[in-house]
Amino acid sequence: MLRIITFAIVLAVASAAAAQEKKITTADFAGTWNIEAMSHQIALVVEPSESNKVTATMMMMGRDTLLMGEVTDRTLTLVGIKTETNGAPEPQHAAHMPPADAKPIVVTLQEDGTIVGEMMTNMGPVKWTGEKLKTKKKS
Amino acid sequence: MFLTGKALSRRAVLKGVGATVALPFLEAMTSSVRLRAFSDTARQLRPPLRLVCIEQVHGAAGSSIYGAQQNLWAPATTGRAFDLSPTSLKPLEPWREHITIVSNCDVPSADPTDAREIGGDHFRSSATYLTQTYPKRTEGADIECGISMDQLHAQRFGQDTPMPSMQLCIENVDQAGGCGYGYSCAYTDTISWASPTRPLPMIRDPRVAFDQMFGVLGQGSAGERRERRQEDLSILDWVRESSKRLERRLGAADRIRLSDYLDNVREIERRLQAVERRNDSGEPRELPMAPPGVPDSFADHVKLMFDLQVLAFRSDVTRVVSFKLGRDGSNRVYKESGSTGAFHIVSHHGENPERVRELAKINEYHVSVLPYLLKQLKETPDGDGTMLDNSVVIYGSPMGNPNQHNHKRVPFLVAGHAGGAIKGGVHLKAKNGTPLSNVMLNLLHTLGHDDLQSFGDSEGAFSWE
Repeated sequence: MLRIITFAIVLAVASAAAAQEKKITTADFAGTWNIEAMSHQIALVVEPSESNKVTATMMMMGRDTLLMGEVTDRTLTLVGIKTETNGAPEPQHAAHMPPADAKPIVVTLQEDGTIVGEMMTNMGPVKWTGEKLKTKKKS
Repeated sequence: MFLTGKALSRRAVLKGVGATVALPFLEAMTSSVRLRAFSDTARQLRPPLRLVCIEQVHGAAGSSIYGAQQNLWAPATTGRAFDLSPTSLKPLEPWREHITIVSNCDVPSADPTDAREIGGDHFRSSATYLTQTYPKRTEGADIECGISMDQLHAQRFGQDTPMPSMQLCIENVDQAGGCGYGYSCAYTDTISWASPTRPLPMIRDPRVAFDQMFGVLGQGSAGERRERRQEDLSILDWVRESSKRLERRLGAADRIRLSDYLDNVREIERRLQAVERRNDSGEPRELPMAPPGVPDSFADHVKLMFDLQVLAFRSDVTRVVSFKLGRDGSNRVYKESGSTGAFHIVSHHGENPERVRELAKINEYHVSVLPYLLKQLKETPDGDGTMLDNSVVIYGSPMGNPNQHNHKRVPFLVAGHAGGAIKGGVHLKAKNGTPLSNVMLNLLHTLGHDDLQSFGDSEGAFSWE
């Protein structure tokens, strides 16, 4: 009897652990994220491409940085491809945006569904947090 | 006592060449009101309700996590035994019986709905304050938001007054085109919307507001009006003959009332002239780009605007005012607050407790001007009570924590008693996720819009209980 109970407990713990270590895929990062970095808001739009790869765009005041990345475990690592200003003047807070050739941006998915990350900006390395943008009707 | 036996119309004015001075409520007007009351309903005898909507821009320190924990805006206790001492509302302590604090509401209509709107909160949030409606992101002529609560009220209850509503502000609002993140400046420049596509301009210069109230605007060019002001000491000189004629028709009590009122008009005008003289003197100004009628001091400017509002209510020129105290992105320094930092920079406090508290000082300073208005309303007799009894003054912001540009736990309070419908002296904490539009819907019901089913993105009327 004791063996059965022990086995059941082991099984339950293993199942819980397995559930906790649910495989994170690109779908978990997909969507629009509202990132707060140094008291400013930046949009990060992530779209799954193939396998564990994604494309992404970081947007702030009309300036877009195109990125591509890869999901490993709970982490998404993004590297810049190019920056587009869409004809807009250089934004006032552009220093908070990573240049396209900056070091990779490392994004980690938290248990609560938010993300945390770190990126290099013209003002040095910056840690940030982000949450998924809720969709709602517009009027 | 009214001597001639013929009632004076509530719409009677003092008229002169180029000026019209509306009158305060006089006993001489009561007989005509009574006559109407017999033929209509008793409701007409009740003084009208006045509405003042004030925007404290860019949220409050108390809306941050730390600020909420420290009760920097909302008091810790709900009900009547609330303690204002840790809060930015401290200056309202002598007025606690006249205020209703409604905390923990959100303004979801100001939230971004897509990636391009993220970060653009400064450029849309003012538009959502009194409309509680999502503003369409555009820099073009196709702007669209919602009708604001002040305008709803003005359109229904302000049509009998010379001006259905007044829109006033403290900082410059005449920016054209796009203001940022693809938003038209129309969304930033006003809090009053006559329709979803018609934002109303706000007046920053007290001189313009004064001239508008007394029918001086439109009488020649600005230069000609100025020249005339220099020749005459006062607008009252322009209506002197009319004033004398009226006095002869009034009883003693009314003559005193009229005299007090005209003294008040003259006093405001005198202060306005002093500001203009100072600003025209060539002395350096703190606000060099501001019109000469705008005092450099924030408090002086706000007080002058409050004086004009009370004057407009007393003379029934209008019953509805919206008043925007600043701009989200303003870097004005409010030295009197004890903070030497620029407003917008201080507002981005990085969640640092010391810096959050610095913002709380500025919030407290902004709140500290409110008693000036409340005192005047309370000191103005109105019907069987005071004008404060018959007013609703809302004071709040569509922004919550300015550091995060969020719209949660927004600061909001109501002063006045809406003709007895609002008791005051209470702090009500809304359930998490309650939209502020629910509170505004309730206020609109209180103001007489009983048939209104919804307002903005409301989900139902907030309960005052």
